[in-house]
Amino acid sequence: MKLAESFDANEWFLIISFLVITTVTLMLPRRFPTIISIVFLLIGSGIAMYSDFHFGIPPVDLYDINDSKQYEWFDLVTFVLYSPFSYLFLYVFDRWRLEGLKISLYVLAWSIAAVAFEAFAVRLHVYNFQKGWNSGYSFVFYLASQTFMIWFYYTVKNNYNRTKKETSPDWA
Amino acid sequence: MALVVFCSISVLLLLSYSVTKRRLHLFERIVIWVFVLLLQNNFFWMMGLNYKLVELSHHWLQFLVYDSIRSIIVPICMMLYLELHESLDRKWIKGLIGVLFIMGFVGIEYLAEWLGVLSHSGNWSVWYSVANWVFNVLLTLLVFKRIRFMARKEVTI
Repeated sequence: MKLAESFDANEWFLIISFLVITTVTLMLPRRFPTIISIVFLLIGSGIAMYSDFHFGIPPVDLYDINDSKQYEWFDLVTFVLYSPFSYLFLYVFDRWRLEGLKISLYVLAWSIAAVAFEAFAVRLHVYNFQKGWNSGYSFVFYLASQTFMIWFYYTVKNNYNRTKKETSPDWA
Repeated sequence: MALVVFCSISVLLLLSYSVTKRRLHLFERIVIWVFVLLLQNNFFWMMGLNYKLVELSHHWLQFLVYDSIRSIIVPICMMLYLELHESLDRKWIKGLIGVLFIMGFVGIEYLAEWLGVLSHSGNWSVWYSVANWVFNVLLTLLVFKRIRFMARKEVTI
């Protein structure tokens, strides 16, 4: 498996994005119990991989990632990059304690930000949309996946509070 | 036929798994599901896209059948294996269960090939499948042990 077809803008974009977002995530004050942090980190990559398998390869095959149609190490970095984003999404959601319509506005704002970030990544050829995918589809996808993430957050939180040990940190 | 076989297995597995008492915590199940998905996707991306040793059907219905194998049948079977592994005391029985599950996973792969969901190239050998599933089972077991160790500090399992 190749590291990359050619080491240029998209690889640098992925490295810098990964370093910046991971540093921000690590610098944040601890908010969740360890096992919850792991679950919140993993679910982002899980959703990304699950959906890429549907949209990014034949028979649907609407886009390519990075330089070649083949799988390279930087494709894996692309998927891993979703982990700190999903963590941050739920971290801020938990921090702000949003309710009602504010939740919808929060999801809308993150979806717009995600499409903007993705559009920049498209310019640098991290994603190649020539096969039919476009930012409109991405927007709908982000709306849906982030809505799922909100449901997921409440499910995990309820489950934690139901099964946590006496000595475990509280998560109100 | 593939749709009938694998979707029936998926639904029955999901039903059985949700109506019986579980030994894995929800958080462990989430981690295992994502990890098993990661292993399978990477296997397909490497063996299929890079080396052309395995090819999925390009027919969308068969592709959905493969999806049910990848995201339902294999993860739930893996969780059942881990539950059995945790509930048994004797090492040789644990080993035997591991071997049986590996044979089961290889069997599912070849049943999928027989039913036209995927195809192996001429250079593929059944032992590659066995090696892949041994690797999958052992690595998942390792990750599970680690996650259980961490989860036990914070939640009741």
